[in-house]
Amino acid sequence: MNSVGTSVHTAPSNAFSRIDSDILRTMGRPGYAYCAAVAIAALGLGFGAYAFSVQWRFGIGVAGYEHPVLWAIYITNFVFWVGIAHSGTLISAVLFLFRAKWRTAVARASEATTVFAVLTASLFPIIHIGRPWFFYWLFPYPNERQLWVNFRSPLIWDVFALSTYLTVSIMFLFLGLIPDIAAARDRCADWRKPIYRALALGWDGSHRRWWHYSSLYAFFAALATPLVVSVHSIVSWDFAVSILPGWHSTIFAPYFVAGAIFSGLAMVITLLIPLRKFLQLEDYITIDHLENLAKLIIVTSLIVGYSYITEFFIAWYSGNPFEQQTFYNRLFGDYWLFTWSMLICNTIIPLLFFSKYLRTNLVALFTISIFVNIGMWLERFVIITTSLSHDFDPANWSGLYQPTWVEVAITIGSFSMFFLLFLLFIKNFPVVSITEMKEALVTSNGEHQELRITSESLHSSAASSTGDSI
Amino acid sequence: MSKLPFSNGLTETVGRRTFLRVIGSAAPAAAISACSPLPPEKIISYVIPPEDIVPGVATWYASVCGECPNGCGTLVKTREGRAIKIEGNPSHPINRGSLCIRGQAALQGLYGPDRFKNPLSRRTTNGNTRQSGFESVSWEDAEQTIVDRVTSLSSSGQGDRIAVVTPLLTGTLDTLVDEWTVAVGGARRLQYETFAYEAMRKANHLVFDRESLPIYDFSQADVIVSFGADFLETWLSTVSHARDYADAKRIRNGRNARHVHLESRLSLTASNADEWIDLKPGTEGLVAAAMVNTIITEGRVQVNGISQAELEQIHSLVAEQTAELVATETGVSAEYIVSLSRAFSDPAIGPGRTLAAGGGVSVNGTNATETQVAIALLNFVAGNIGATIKFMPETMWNSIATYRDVLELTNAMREGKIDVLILHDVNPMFTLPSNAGFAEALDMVSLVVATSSHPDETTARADLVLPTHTPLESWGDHKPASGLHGLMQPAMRPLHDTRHFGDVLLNTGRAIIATTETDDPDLQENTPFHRAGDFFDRLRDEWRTRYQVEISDSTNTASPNSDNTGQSELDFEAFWTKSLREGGVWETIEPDSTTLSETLKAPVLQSLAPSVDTSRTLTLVTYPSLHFFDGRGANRPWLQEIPDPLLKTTWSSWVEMTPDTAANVGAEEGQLVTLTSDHGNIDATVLINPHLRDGVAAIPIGQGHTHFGRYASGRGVNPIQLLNAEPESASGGMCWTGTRIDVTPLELRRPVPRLQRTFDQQERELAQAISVETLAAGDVHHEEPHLSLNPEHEHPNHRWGMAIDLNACNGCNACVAACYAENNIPVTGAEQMLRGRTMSWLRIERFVESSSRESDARGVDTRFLPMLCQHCDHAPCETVCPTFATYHTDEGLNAQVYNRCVGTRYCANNCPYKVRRFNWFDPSFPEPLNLQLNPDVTARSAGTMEKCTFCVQRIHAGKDQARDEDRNTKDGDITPACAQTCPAQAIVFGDLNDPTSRVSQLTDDDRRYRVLSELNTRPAVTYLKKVVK
Repeated sequence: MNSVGTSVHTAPSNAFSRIDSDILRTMGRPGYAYCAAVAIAALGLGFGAYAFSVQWRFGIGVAGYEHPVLWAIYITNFVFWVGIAHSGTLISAVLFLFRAKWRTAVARASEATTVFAVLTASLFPIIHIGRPWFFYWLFPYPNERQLWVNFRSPLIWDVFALSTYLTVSIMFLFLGLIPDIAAARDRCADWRKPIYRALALGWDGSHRRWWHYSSLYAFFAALATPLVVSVHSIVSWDFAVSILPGWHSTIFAPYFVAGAIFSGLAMVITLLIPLRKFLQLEDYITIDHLENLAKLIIVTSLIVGYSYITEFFIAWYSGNPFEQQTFYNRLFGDYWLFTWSMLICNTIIPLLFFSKYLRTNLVALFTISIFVNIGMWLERFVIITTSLSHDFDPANWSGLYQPTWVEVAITIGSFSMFFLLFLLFIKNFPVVSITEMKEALVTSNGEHQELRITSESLHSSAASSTGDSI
Repeated sequence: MSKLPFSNGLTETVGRRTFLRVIGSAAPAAAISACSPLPPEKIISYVIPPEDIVPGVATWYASVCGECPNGCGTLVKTREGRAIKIEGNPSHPINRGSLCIRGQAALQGLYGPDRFKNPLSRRTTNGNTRQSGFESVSWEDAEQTIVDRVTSLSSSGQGDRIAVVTPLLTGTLDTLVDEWTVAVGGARRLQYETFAYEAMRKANHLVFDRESLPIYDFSQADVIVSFGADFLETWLSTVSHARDYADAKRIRNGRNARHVHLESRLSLTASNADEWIDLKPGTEGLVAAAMVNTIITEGRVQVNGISQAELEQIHSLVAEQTAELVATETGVSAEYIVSLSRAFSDPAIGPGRTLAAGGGVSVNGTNATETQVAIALLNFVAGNIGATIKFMPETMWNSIATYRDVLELTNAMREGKIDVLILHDVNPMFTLPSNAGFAEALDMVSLVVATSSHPDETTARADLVLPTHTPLESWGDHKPASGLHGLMQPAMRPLHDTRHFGDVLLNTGRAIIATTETDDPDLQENTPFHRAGDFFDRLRDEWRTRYQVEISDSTNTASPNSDNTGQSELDFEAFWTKSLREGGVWETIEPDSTTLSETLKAPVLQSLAPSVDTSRTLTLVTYPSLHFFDGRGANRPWLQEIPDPLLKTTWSSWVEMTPDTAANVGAEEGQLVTLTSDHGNIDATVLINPHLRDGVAAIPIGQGHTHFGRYASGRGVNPIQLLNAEPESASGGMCWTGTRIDVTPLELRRPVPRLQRTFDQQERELAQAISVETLAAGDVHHEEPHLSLNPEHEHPNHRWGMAIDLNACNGCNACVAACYAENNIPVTGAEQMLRGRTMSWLRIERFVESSSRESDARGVDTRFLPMLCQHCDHAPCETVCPTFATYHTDEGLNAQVYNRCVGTRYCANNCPYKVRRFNWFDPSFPEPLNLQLNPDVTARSAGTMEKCTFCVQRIHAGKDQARDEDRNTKDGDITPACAQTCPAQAIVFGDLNDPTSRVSQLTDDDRRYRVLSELNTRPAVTYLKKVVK
């Protein structure tokens, strides 16, 4: 162990401390704009909670479900938010394993997105069911009645997938935060200090800690990576294992995973552009980073577009009248506006990123990312409602499903909840990984050799920050 | 007592421990009582249990249905003293165990939440504005009011200033009303029915010298030609017709009956026909006359021993109506009329094997009597009189007043000739056209007494409202035709402070007699008002007479000592008990021989062609609603909720037009239009119905109530307001059809909730059909189950299954209502229906296969597909439920555990038949409708899924019964509610493990198929294909 660090360069400690202060500064006293944003989000969340209380009290009939469209906006939101969660894991875990260094600047925000999106998503199964007070029956807990869950049901797979994903993504986020929390702990002078102290788990920056930290981080990255594929595959099986035309499809797993990453990347861009501006992190989250995300969006958009083509082609090629009718109805039926909007938002607009100008232009990036968000929400909505509204028996077919204020309020509430959590996070935790920025600093200074971390350098960085207060 | 914490009073020595103990026991109690707004209930067990009531065991009472005049026999199921279900009486010769949708819904008349609970008297609240309201009065005061008024009239010899209007009554109550009118000094009396078949009665009078209605036996007919007769909906004895019709349509020796229906609108009956001819409205008689003409000129008359003179007499009536001539007027080609005439008089099938039925309402235009005369002649020349059409010695229809009689009474009222008017269970304020002036005439009557169980438009105008029992709470008897004596017994105690109409008559009659002593010794001796006893005793007296008739009929077999009165009384008790148990007494009476009237002469067919007023654009066709009859069913929520069998509309009424007609008048579906006739105008929503003749607008009768309780009031429109008050000249009946109207579109939309939006099955072969030839050739193909990776379920004891014959099903919705009643299915209301949120476990899907117009028939092949849980062996719903709330039982049922359901609704999404229903809200059963709930079936709460259980409670009851009798269940022990009531016997239920069961045999029938079998769900329900020509 003593042989380590001989050939190690030392980064300029003033740069390290600048990283410290730049990033930890974001956790300082909030401004009016921030407070207003938090208030609006809290209000939206309250509105959603009120709507849910109405639904709880009177029954889920206050929502706009129209037989046979028995799943609608709540499941759309569920799949949407699970999808949003995926980019976080992709960026922080998969790109970490692939040593894509540019991820550093955006990884923390993405991980936070993941956790909050999964939290938001996991509320929807509860909001969606008819008797939400019995949601715990979906867990295989031991009980005196010896009742067990049905492991053949994809909804049970969902429970496991989602709870696993939530656990792993929280741990992954928290693990990455530990050195940064320690830095915050060292500088913090207000009421949050004891919290940071507790959360830092006694981090002292010793070599042993770093050694454990980096191996554990790599281990978690490896653990989280299959989840990127598995969680949304399982969510897609909610649909794919049913026998409903429009849902019953073997391509759903890869199609949904690609779509999830696609929407997640868009959401990260949507969040980062205002974030880097308001927190003055332009030096850390650069246009290059956003451009890389945009490139990934092109890839995933093409995969999603290909999936659409496959779906429609197979529906036609199969000769199955049920499939054909479902997809014909999707394009030209009551829901045509939603379908065409979805197609344009998801397969045409993102291709604008082929233009270098557009993918480096903040306004274009932001605008297109919003379109992708809308498009991907619509994709889930269209898949769910169009397939349900026109299935096997024409005597059941319904017209256009129209949501009520309750569903709209709960959807607004879910977005509010997500943004509220994100806002609270960025004010209380380093939104860019200090640790990794310092590593990245080294490489960006022109050191092309493999970066090797010394306990001294990093310890000194952590220690050097003690002087400043947040 | 001393151990209670309060024993010695708290004030004396309350130690710390005592205090805590008291608080500890009192606090939860206080908390519980604070939370509960309900008053404490006193639970008192039966000290002396009533003889008939065993808790948990159903008691059945045989009775007579009171929903329409046909008098079907019923068995009323009661639990703990409450009627919870009505089923047909299997031994009753009319309905043979079945009931229609209205009969099933009679329970909601009994438990109607808007029923009168006590007598009401009108009191003027504001003398200046003539505003008035009802106040509760006692029965004594109410009856005294009548007695005072009637006495003052009858004592002054003005008994004819009293009038009593009742619906069609037969038996004891009918006699009693007559006796009452005599006792009060000659009061007028009318038996008023909205659909009184005046033209048919008049035509039968003209042609056969019999002013009555015959019995139509569809089961014996090989060719059925219906001229607008909706004999499966409201036309005469529909339940009986449905059974017979299904028999006629059954394949025997490779063929079945051919049904041709001529009507300008595709009615439910027409949609069951092999050929539907959309002729011009009102020209049915021309076709019938041309058919008679053709049959005579071609020498195909099928009457044995008919004289040449008679033949010429008939021919002279129709000689002008040749097929060629009427073709242009009717819109039916001459070739078709000729070929139909030949089929109708085919010597190969022999005389008396065909049947022509003339509609009650839809052919009732200004030429109604002529039309019916032509149809009667057609039946005569085909030899059907006495064969498929039987005139019985007596029928109830003779005594009904014509519409003209009602108008005469109205005029008398308007002229101030009536001082006391008693309206019993009739609603002329709704069923008479407004310009008949009944409302104004009522104002001229100083005392209007309405006796009815529920509020309606007429009771709202009454001075005195006497609440009467519903039929389910009443004693009574009903004689629909010769030889049929139905006995009606109450299934439960009256719910409210109501009285039997007979008792009201007896009470008032006695009081009147007491004050106006008459010198006529006959009256003193013989009227029931001079004897003690209530209506029940009166009924028994009548039946004692009936018993004497029975005895005398079998004089020689009776014991010589039968004059022993004590023995006779014992015998009568046995007879009475037997009649009560069986629901009545049935005798086989031979039909009368019927011959042509000697006075039949030329003018009877003078104005056979309809006169058409061309100054207005469309011809109005009103038709009685299958659900509401003449409107009397509209306050039953089931009847509102269950979708119309053809248009699948609920909670509404509408005006139907073809797409072309609607385009011509500039209206579209859902748009509100003003309909204007010479006699009134109404605003109705347009519904596009392609199965109508262009230029015709059709409106169902029965909606548009204003004072008919919460379920009916303010819903839809009443087309009677558009009709001419002038009666048809020959018969004095209403002119229901042929009024000309104008349509003015309004800039308003009022959506009509519809539960099925497309009637095209998109070539998905859900409702399948097979032609007679293919079936006879044995050219049948059956899809075998696909292979499956999953292990098969084992059904060691029973495997319940069902077979549904689409050739028998006529779409009448009776099964749906039975399912509502049996399974506590809640009603969700119009608003929820707009979102398709019906809770019905069973629905009748209607699919229409339209082909190009062949010959004159429109080429419309309607198929009714009763769709319920298929209880699949490989049920897609079972695998996706996360909590095992739905699973497969070892008897082959797809069970649903309501308690375990969390409401993910995945099962319903994955059900290809979409038969699962979700409780969006907690169900509501406004009191006392909750008393109807079946205690054997769980009432479900919000957020749970439900669906057909194959009436699992009936399966358990059947198995329990078999076990009690120490045997295995046998075929027929267990019948679900839908199969039980089906008038066409289309549904058969049983054990598929038993190869001899009927359902097993039907499951192997050549016509078998399973819906969506390509999905390999392996349903337990087998459908038998409809047979098409």
